Amino acid sequence: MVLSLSLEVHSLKFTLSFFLGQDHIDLAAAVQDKLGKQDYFDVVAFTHADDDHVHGASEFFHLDHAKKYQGTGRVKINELWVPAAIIVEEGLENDARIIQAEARYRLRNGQGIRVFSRPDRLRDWFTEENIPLADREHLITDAGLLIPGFTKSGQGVEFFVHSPFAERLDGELVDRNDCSLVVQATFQSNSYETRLILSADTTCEILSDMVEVTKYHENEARLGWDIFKLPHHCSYHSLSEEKGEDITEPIPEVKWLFEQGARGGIIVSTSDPIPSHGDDTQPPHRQAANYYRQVADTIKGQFKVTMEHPTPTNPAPLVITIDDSGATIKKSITMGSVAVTSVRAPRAG
Amino acid sequence: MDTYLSVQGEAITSEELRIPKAREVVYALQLDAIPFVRLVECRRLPESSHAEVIVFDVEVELGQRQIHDIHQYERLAAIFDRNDTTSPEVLALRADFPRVPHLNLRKDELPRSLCLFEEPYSELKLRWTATAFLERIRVCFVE
Repeated sequence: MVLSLSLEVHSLKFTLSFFLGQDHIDLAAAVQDKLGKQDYFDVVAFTHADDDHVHGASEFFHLDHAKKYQGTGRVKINELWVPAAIIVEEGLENDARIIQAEARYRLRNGQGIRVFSRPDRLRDWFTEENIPLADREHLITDAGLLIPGFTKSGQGVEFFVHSPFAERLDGELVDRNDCSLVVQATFQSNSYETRLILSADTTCEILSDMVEVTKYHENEARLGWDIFKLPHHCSYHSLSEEKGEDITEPIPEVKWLFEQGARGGIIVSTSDPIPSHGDDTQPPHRQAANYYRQVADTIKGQFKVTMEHPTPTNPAPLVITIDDSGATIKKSITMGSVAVTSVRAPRAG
Repeated sequence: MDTYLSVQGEAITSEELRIPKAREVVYALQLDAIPFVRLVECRRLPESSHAEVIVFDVEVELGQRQIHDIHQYERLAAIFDRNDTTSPEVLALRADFPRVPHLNLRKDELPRSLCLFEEPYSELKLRWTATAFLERIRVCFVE
């Protein structure tokens, strides 16, 4: 299972497409289809290095660091976004190792990359590479800052970084969640703003700390949302350490976070269909889904599961448009039903 | 929880439907390949008309900021004329369904009757399909 989210900007209208590659969907083909003739992405972000978030990347993308990952049909990456862990972590395997090699190559060369962490987190790596940190500092974005190159007045969207972040414990800065990239995107369409939170695979403990740090800096508005891409495929661990019998009750700061949803907001679970019973170890967890349904009901919004959309038997990319009407999930009957129009109904009598 | 207006007539199974267009719509509603619609029930109106009624739910493509109070799920009733001389009438069954711009005039205010097409039915029926009919209903909520 590999998740891909693509964002397109057409004048003042934005389109988000959530793809979940699995048995029913050829992810590479679906993303390629969305690209059309274009052979590059402006930005590709790997939120973290877990296999379900990087699997297949080395076969799909044109990677600058080795000729074997180049050639016709591969999709180029103008700017690669990674959390610091992808640079410094040891022992990565398979596609995660290849993406790490690409990220390190770009960081050494000083172009086509943005790394997320406090710059000091990368000091040792730069020392080993004999590169002065000051020469690459402009490619590193810390939590609490906007990502350079995107503005609401220019591209119509800005990105505020929440994680990786550092906390001060006993007078020392301690890096938290340096494995995972969490951002809030704010889209501007005329005078209307629509906010999206992308939360990677973040646990409740980290989300709680993230909320506390954000409140401390009086940046509460940066946790408001109209669309929330749920953390960790609807795992209860992102809400609480207690799963609950039928519903997961979130810990206080996480509860606060989910109360920041605007009316009509959309909660997206990038996951398999929600099981109706049982207690699976792996997400999605029905107890967590029940909490998210409750949140959606409260804000008169929608809770959508990618592999249930539009139906569990015929899932297709979940497409959300953003314009003056806010966020709208595209729901066309013609999608995936071409054959229907050519089938005649049985005759009466 | 939404409250729905009741539909008159005798409840029948989908196999008991006799009006071709009603059968086509039920067939389309029961196809797993068509998302965002769900069959609720079928009914036949009394002796005088023999019209048949298909009750179904639609999932609306709903923007976050709305002008009218349209819900994500709306329950509708489509009434099919036995002789196919008039366009199937589509009624919104939610008791507090709002007064939207495109409504047909009726003797009773509720249920509200959705105005779906501008063309005369004599022209429309030449290219009428159940799938297009269902999609037209869903699209009218976002116009």
